[in-house]
Amino acid sequence: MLKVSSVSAAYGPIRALHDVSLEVGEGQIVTLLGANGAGKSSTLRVISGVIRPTSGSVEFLGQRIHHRSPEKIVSLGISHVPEGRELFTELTVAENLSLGAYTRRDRDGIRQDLDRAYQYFPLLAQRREQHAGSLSGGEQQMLAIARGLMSRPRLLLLDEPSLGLAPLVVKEIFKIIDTINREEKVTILLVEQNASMALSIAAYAYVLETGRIVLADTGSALKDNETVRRSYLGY
Amino acid sequence: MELIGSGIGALLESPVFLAAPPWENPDLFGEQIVAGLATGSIYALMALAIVLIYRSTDVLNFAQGEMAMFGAFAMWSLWLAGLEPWQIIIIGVMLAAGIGAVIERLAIRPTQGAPQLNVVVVTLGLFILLNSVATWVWAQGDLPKVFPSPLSTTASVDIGIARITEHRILILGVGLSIMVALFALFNYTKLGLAMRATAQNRLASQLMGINVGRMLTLGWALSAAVGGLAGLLIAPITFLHPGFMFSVLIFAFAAAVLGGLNSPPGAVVGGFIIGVGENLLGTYTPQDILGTEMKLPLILLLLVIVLLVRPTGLFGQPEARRV
Ligand SMILES: Nc1ncnc2c1ncn2[C@@H]1O[C@H](COP(=O)(O)OP(=O)(O)O)[C@@H](O)[C@H]1O
Ligand SMILES: [Mg+2]
Repeated sequence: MLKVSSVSAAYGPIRALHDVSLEVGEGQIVTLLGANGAGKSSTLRVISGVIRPTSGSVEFLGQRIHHRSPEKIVSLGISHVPEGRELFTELTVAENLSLGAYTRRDRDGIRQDLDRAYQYFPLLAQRREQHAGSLSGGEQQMLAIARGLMSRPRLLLLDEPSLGLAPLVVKEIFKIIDTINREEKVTILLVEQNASMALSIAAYAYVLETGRIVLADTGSALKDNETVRRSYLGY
Repeated sequence: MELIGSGIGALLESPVFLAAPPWENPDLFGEQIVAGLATGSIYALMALAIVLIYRSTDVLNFAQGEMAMFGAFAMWSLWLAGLEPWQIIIIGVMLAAGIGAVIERLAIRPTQGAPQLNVVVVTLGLFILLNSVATWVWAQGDLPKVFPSPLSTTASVDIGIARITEHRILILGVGLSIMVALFALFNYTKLGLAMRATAQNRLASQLMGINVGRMLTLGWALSAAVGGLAGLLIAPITFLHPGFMFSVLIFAFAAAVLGGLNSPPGAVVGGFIIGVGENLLGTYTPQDILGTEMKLPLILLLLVIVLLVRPTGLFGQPEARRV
């Protein structure tokens, strides 16, 4: 479904990605692991069109998308839930969700998806007229994911959804991610520093180190390989 | 004898400059309030223009008044060429929107991401550029130039509480309609929501599929149109010369800061407070002590006091983190 081929990217003089290749198959959860600064977020930014690769290509459903605008990429079916959530903190929960459906024109479909979002996240339903900034960290992450789903994506890019959350909340978020994948049939590329949690739900995993892919294997193989765990995943 | 009684005594004995108090002449009071509301709606429109840009691009547009002045002079030429006053208002607003869009694309966009001082310099540069070009092109012969209104600036009508000129009714009517329309745009339309979203978080807006650049251009166009309209509406009263928007801009800045720089409703309320306050001060204070020259410092003093008590203005929210 998604094929990233030999992508390099840079921020001015700082090179962030070197020759990164990865694939995500339809219906899978694939995780991208690595330490802080390894290039995980940059990889997602290239896919969603926020930054342009200096070389290499990104294909989605057979189309080359790496020179498309972020607006176009959203309407093609990729939704990027960024690191740190990036909610519209001074807008209400309901307004945040309706912005998630910005590229869509089907009013009825949007209303149905809104209802479904509130079913998935009942806490958000109770707070729909509150400012997003007034939510707790866990609720904010749920809102970010719900907002990302409102464009009805085929592929969801999740950047460190567990960041800064208490262990119990992290567990809940991962359960939701797994449910979205199985019930809504949304393919997921999950970026995490919390490797053990990510590996427990991912079919396949890539490990980034200073902008290069250094490991790629099935989730279970990486989880069971102790040397790999110690040297790359730090647990 | 007059000489002996000069000083404070003379002041007390010379109430010629002092209007009768409201309880003795309620009609005058009503008139001053209504006229103040009309001027206030001009300040409110200018303040809205300033706030719209400040919220969306973090820029205090010092050239806002000169953009309106430039457009008003261009419309004055069209009026001389034979267009009707109402036509030049419509064309003037569209021209102003175009000027705003072009300025955003050519002058403001390139400074985004650069240090804040750069954009300050750009708007000051625009101020000087527009003022110089207008002076060069239009400010020959007698100044100020008469500027037309679709309605009479002298004939007045009785609206119950006061008599008010037809032109001031036009100002109030158009001003209030624009405020209502902007409120509806921002609160009840998808476009308005997208513009508010862009003002808050550009990265997230981009990820939602909003064309952020287009929203910024649109914001500048809208703001310039609103500010330009304010210029076209006040020009028949103040007449045209290259500096005719200076004091309007200062009062509008005061209104925007008073209401809270990031709050459109605050800009409106601030505009009306300053408009009415200016008129009442002008009417009920003895000209010897507090003449027209003192209006500005007094308004600014009021502003300083408000900011000491409420640093974010009457309606402003503390600044949110911006990406
Ligand atoms: N906006 C930016 N400007 C400049 N350099 C950046 C920016 N974002 C990331 N980088 C650099 O790119 C590299 C990869 O960063 P990032 O993709 O954010 O890593 P990760 O998400 O794995 O922590 C780092 O060296 C980081 O300092
Ligand atoms: Mg990151």
